[in-house]
Amino acid sequence: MNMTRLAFAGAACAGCAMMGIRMANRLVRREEAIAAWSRLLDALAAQLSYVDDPLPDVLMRSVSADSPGDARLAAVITDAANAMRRDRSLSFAGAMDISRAFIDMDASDAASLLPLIRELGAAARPQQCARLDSARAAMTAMASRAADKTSRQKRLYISLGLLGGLALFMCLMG
Amino acid sequence: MRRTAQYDKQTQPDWRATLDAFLPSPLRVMAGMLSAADAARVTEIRLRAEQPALIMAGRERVDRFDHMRSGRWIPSGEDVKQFAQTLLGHSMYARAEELRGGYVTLPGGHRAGLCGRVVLEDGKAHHIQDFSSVALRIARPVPGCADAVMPLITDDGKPLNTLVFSAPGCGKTTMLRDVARLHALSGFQVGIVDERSEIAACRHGVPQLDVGPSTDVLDACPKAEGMILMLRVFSPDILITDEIGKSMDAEAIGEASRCGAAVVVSAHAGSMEELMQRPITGVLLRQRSFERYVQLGPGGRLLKAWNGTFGVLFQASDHSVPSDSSDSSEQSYSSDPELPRDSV
Repeated sequence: MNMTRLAFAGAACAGCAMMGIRMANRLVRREEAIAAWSRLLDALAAQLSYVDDPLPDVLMRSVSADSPGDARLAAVITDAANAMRRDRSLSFAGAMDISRAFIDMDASDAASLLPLIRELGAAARPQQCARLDSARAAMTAMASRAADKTSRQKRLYISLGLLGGLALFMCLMG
Repeated sequence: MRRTAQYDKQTQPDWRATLDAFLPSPLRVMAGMLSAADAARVTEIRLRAEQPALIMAGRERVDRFDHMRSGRWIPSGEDVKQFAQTLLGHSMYARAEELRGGYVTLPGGHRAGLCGRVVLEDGKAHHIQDFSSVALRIARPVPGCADAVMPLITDDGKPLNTLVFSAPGCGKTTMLRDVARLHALSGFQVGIVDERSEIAACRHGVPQLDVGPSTDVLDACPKAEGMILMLRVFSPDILITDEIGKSMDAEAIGEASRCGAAVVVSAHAGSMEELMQRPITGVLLRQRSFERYVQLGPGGRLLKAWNGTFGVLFQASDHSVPSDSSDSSEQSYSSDPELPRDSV
């Protein structure tokens, strides 16, 4: 009986701790995702300011896999570019799997990027560059807020998870 | 070097196969309903927001729908915008410069003209947005249309300075394209300065229409500048350009002649008198810059040809014009089969 209770309490404690770690990890992944989008927009802005290639080619050249966040985004963008190549009627927004693209981001992060995604390739160069610049500025601010939030809340979530797990363990054992 | 300008009559590729990937599905259905004969006559497809889509052969509608709005595809404003973006490859930033010229070139040399709201910059049209109508013009090169003209504009195979003229829509550009092709097939190095991308219909720098195996194309380059550049870089045997009309063009033609390149150019004029009265072509005529003059009539028909001293080399026996005088230059080409080869 005691062994069963111990195992149950241990599992509950581990679950709580895992939840804390997972929440902390979500913060890290969001930060990585924002940084990856930020780097992608920088590369796109550099390309679109002088290159006359079709958007799928520009997208393929702009992605990188330097970090896990970049690699995850690169997979989504590459799929979208390939879909655009296969079906000419698809716009970037139509070709991209939005849910996959923003899986690690908040709804507010996605909302700030969606207008750009819808208009990417649909405007003349000056307008395109201006929109990219404004999106990049928004991403920079977003990245700094995300980094700040991560540094503040990452340890908190882990600690809360561990403490909560410990408390639950003690309750269950007591 | 010389070779009789022979060619194989090429089967025209079906535009529906080339453009299928660009067409919205209702339009694809409309195009699919056309008979092969009707499809071969199609000159353009017109889409206007909130108006029935039209498939035209000259001025005749060939889509199989009644004249009433019911039962036809009426694209919404969003449909037209999406179609326009598809034609632009969802890369408008890359095509805006081309679009400023009024159209974009598609695979196969077909061209799309787009209408919408023009955005001005410094008082000049910068780009178009909010597209509201699309005119898709079907390219229909006519290989062999210059067959009858070639003996007139060559001397024992050697190309001569030639001015091709006609009223608008009679097929000067189509004729120049085929002249380039035939000269290139004869082994000459041909240079085309294609300011409006109409002769070779270049897309990403690659000619979409057959201009011959030894032809270099300077695309979207101002004529005078392009001719000098072409002479300097490629030393062509023959230099071809469309619609001359500026004093700089005349200077470039003179420069080309001095460099030993034959020049084949076109100009708008309904008659030799009109050509003489125009400021630039008038000067060129008085300077005897050309060794041959060729006048085309509706449907690309060869009407008359002169030598450099205005002696008539050829005159079509029948000056009657075809009843369909619409923009049929790309489709109903005809040349006099009885052209006297010894008339040169």
